[in-house]
Amino acid sequence: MRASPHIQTVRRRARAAPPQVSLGANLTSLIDLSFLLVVFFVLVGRISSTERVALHPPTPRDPASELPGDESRVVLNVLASSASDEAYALGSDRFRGDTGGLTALRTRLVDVYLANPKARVNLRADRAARYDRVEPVMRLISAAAAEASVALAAPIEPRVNLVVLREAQGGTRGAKAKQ
Amino acid sequence: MARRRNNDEPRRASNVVPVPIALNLTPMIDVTFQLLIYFLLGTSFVLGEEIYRADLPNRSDVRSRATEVADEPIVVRVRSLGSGPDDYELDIDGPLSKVSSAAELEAMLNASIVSISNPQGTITRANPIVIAPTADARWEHAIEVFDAAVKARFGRVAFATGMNATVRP
Repeated sequence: MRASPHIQTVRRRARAAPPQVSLGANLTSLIDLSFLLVVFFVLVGRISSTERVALHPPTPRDPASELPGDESRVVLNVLASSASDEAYALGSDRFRGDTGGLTALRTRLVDVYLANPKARVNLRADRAARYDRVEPVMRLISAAAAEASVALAAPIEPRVNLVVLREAQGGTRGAKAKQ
Repeated sequence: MARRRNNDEPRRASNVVPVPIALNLTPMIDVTFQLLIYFLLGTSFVLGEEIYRADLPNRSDVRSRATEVADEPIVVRVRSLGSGPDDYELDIDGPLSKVSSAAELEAMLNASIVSISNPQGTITRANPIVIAPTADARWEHAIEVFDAAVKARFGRVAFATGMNATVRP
């Protein structure tokens, strides 16, 4: 008995090759994520290297310090070098510890306050820096704020954040101090 | 009888050999991950850095500030004896007890605050504290003493810079 045309069509399709199924993984999301991470690290790496120079901030025991907020700030690094070398770093600018360097630093700080009167200065000093290297910076910040407030005819509060390093649990405080 | 194909009819699809057009993404992914690993290893995050908020006075109103400070400040002198974290000595002006470390300073300050339970106390937390390191004192020793005063919840802690700074704990 001959099958109907419909049955014949079904049998013919069943004998044909099975439809191809693509098993390739969709890598688009993976590549997107990877590129985002690469861009993030490129940008963050540059910002960090510009603002912060390699130094070791103090690590008080169980400090009463707090995490920095989101306010705009500039990072003023105080290096533990001798007076004849570069003593301060503000952004990508370096300043010597002599009178000329301090004058240039004050001018730069005035520019910072003129551009942003609400800027805070993160004073990031090396733990081994002498106090007579740090103390002039505090006076400079006050003086620069006063000079900028006169230029802007508006009061500017010189706000400073003293940067410390919170010691990790079970950290090597004594070993770091020898650096 | 077979049907003759007209010249105007399109050819059957089965006669066209499909050419796979695919972009080989493997080298790109390799390079991307190489870059990712490089930046992961090369980037140094500044983890663990925290701050003390200290507001320096504006020089334009030094006169009014000078008249504001009526309390006798507690002057803590810091002198470094070496490069170790505990290699320093403290000296306090006035009748307060002598201390030898920042931890002792914090305890002494807390014990000296006058209150109902401690009527023999001699100071309040409104008293200004001036930290006066010597010129060659290490910054870490100065910060250690500053931290002790902040932990004792004194609101007016200053470094001896010729003007008073106010910390906001």
